Amino acid sequence: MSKEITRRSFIKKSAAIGTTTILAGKALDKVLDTSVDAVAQGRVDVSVVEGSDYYRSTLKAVEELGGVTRFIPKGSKVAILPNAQRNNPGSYTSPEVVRGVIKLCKDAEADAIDIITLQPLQNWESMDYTDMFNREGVGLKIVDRRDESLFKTVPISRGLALKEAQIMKELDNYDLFVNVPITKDHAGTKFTGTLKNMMGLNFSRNNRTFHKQNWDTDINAIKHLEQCVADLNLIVKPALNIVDATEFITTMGPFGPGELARPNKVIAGVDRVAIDAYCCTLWGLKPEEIYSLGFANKHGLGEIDPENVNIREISL
Amino acid sequence: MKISSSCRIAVIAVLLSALSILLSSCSDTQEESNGILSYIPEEDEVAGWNPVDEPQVYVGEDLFLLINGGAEIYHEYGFKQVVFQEFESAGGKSINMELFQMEDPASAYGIYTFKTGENGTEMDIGGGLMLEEYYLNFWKNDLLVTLIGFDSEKETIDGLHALARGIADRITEDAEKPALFKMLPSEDLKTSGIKYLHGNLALYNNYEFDSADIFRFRECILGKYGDHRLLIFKYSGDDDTAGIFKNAGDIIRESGNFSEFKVIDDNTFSAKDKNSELAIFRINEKYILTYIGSNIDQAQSVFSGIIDR
Repeated sequence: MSKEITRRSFIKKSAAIGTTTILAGKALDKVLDTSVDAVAQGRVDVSVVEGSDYYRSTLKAVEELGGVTRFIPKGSKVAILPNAQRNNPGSYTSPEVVRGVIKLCKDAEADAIDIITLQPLQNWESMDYTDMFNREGVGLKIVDRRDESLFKTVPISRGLALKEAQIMKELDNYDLFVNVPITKDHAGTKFTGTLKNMMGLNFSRNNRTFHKQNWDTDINAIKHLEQCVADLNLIVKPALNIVDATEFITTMGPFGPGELARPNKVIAGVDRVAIDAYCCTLWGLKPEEIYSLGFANKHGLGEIDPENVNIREISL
Repeated sequence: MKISSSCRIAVIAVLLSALSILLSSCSDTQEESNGILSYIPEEDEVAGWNPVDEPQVYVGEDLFLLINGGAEIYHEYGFKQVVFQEFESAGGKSINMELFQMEDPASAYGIYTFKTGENGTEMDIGGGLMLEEYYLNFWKNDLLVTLIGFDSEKETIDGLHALARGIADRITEDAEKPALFKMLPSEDLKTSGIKYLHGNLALYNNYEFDSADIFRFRECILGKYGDHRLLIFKYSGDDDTAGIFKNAGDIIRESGNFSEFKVIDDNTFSAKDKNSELAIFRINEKYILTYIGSNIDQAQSVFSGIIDR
């Protein structure tokens, strides 16, 4: 079953995304060009697949976008960035979704496929990931989040709150990366999804500046965090976002434990703002109430109004 | 450059005292950590459930290494340290324990109310326990204990209960809820909906007056009733409560989150929130009382009841 929700009308905005600063290699430029072409051709912007087999849902979500080769050119070196909190239910990306992403990279005949992360090995072991990585033959590249020498400073000329980030150097070894967050609650900002997962590429001490030292005394701390998240997204651009919205916490995020929602959905697309705007509605939030989405929209990073996005929803 | 012997002695003395301070602070931290470890049940202490691997202790800012992004709320409440320990049953089930030591019992009670939902099952362990789908939280003295199972099967839920009792038995001191708790009218009060707040982050997650900290408070209690909510902000003698009240009114008057701002009298104003609920604010000495509901007469009656007490 499939349904088209609306047609979008923001070709200009998306074209602007393709011209902003790109961190990774040349292949990423091609990917962004491709997405703009896709808009012009009236393809699906965001695909949503509901089903209990998360692996199949992941494959189907990308198929509905036009197929993985639109996003991952043959021979690319691909990094995958899941969200790997500890193993509290609904707080980390499902291994089955990540397994689906690995299959997609293989289908695209990627030259290298690795998981990149700042999270320690014990997190991955506790979530039953490591055996799957071994079976699938992909690498797990853990960057020590406390070693500043493993990160490079990247200026953010258009940043309003964040003027520079410190992005893991490991990312330079890849042509592109696929962002694979889980959407969930966040006790600081009420919501986390594709945009906030980019903090998983940034040096932890730099991330700490997003969260101001004194929530008690700095009256604007919440908006500061949200603006930093939007600013960071100006310099890191996933080739593709695949969001786990199968089972996630709607309270006490991002770590949990918390109350669980189970929409059993996998969402895919290029436009991070449009995806997050869709995801937050899964547990009753409104996109306009999530500051990071508004700030990212103002940066030209994507469309915040779901009415302007071509969303295709499918049940398996 | 030559250094005189008296200068050298002075430098050595300074270094030795610095070293002594460093060792003493390490020792304090170690003692604190050892103290927190004493609450973990040992092998064969809780029937069927035993600790596996070594406990992990995170002190102060290191909480970010464990919680990565969710640590602010604990710091807002006054976090000191946490110990993480995994338990396993003979049947292969797992339960994770997070035992947080907060700066005082009020902080522990506060983070307990923040972390618990309204649909769980309350039990009489420690200062209060709430069992939810696959996990539970309880607080006792200055400690918050979170036990996380990974399913809702009987063995897991029984294990959560047994471990909670085992840990609670090891915490010998009790503490009362903060005095502000008693200011909430008890009639129709949903006890599972009470939130004791220590700062704007907790407030923002429960009701958004503004993303900025317009009430500048350190202590607030939120009670939920059948058809309305009540917040009581408490200020100390050093705070300019009247100034905070006026400033909050000015911000709410201009805020996109509210409309229909009205000054009712010198001590009271009202506005409609984004959900068309009526928000009424009253200052009374060192308190700001806030009613969120639909009935102005009800609000005035609730305020009078609190002020009379």
